Amino acid sequence: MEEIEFIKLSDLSRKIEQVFKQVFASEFYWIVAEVSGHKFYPDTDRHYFDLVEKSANSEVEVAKFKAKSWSEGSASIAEFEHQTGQSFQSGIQVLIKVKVEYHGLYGLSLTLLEIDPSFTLGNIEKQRRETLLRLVRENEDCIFLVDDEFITKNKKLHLPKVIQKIALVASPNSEGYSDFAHTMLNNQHQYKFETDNYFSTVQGKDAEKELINTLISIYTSGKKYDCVVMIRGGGAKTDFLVFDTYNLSRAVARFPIPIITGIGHHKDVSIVDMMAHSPTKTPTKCAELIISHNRKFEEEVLALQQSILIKSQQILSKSLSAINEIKGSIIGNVQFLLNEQQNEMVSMMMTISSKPNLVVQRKLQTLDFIHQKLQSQSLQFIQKKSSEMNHYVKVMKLMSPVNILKKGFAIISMNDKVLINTDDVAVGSKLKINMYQSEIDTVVTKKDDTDGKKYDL
Amino acid sequence: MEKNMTYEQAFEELRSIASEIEDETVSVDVLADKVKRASELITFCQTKLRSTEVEVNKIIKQMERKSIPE
Repeated sequence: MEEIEFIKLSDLSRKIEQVFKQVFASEFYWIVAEVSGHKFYPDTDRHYFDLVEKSANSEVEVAKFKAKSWSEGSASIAEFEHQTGQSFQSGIQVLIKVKVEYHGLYGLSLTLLEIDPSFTLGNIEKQRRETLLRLVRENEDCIFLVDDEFITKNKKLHLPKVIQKIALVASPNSEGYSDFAHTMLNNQHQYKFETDNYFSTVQGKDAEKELINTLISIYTSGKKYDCVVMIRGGGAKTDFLVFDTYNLSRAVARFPIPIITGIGHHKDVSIVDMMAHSPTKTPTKCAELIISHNRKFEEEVLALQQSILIKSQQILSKSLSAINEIKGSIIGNVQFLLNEQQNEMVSMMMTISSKPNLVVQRKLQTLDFIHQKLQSQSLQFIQKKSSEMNHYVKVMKLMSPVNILKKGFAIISMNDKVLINTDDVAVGSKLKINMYQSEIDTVVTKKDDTDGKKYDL
Repeated sequence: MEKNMTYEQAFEELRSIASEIEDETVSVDVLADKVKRASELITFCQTKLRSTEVEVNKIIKQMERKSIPE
């Protein structure tokens, strides 16, 4: 029997090592692969993982390599995590530069030299765009894209004028939680808040599910929260991708209580931010938003108070001045009336005091006049009467028996009685005839009647 | 003060009082009442902002006791 030639296993491995060195020592390759079975040892800053390629339409692995990174590669991974916000972990697609190495004891493996963040960023961005499109496409009832902005059911909810009852979603003992709690507690306006903590993991592969379950338990608590606050902040700037996931974003968009986010995202906004009622950048800013929201309400109240005060004072002073005006016009009118009455009184007094004098004077004048008239008229009367008297005297003189006698008339008397007729005269009667400056006694010798017409003129 | 009054209700009432006064549709006779009510609403809002629900209820009870005429 021929003796079989053999070599030691270590000889073989050395041989293979030689071949690998010849072929791959100065070579490196940029490859695209999925990370799986990832482990990180922070003490030595080393990553151990598998690189896998799956067939395009199935999950069947078509290639698989062990892989690792030493300090150079680990530094690149840290930079990658910082830039992408994506932690280097199982399940992610990466573009990496590798060296092929063979070790006698550890076998074939790839060593990561560099990782390209832009490839992953591109992938994340692509994923985000797809998630956003899917959100709009599959939730036509509550997510709309209007002018590059996402309008969601949650966004359309009315945020109460004051936020006081809060359901807080955060991871316990996290920096974000204490930032939020501190800002809320020490607000300068001394506003009080009632916050129920709903602690949940906010990173890692279970975060999406846990966050959704947390939202569900907030809803089923039946408590009337003014809003839900969802925060995540501080710590490593990696692993925010849960806030870009479809199911969580969808749950936020549909949630019936307004959600305010304070996700310390290294990028501008996560999809959850886009779906939520009010996104803020950090937990602290989230608390500040709530405080200033309440402050805005209080300022509105104070503004109303101010305008009520000013306006009611105006109304009062207006009514007061109206009353004063009336008062003034009453006083004015009364004074006017009094003046008028007084003037009238004065003029009446003048009239009263002057009129009697006038009347008396006038009467005096009249009296004077009468007096004068009396004087003059009585004189005239006397004159007239005296002239009349004179006339009568003249007449009397003319008619006096002497004058008549002078004219040749005689007075015949009988028995000392003047005869005015001759009835008692008879023949023989003794008669006395008186004539001017003579007296004759005679006896009747004859008596004849005449018709008297001889002396009738 | 009503026990279960919300900020919204208080604010609405306050705003309507303010606009009544602004428009001068309030007669001077009821002006004092309106201003008093407004001041109660403001106190309510400001107290509520700075107290927990339990404290608010306590304060409202006190206010009610005070406002009962003797």
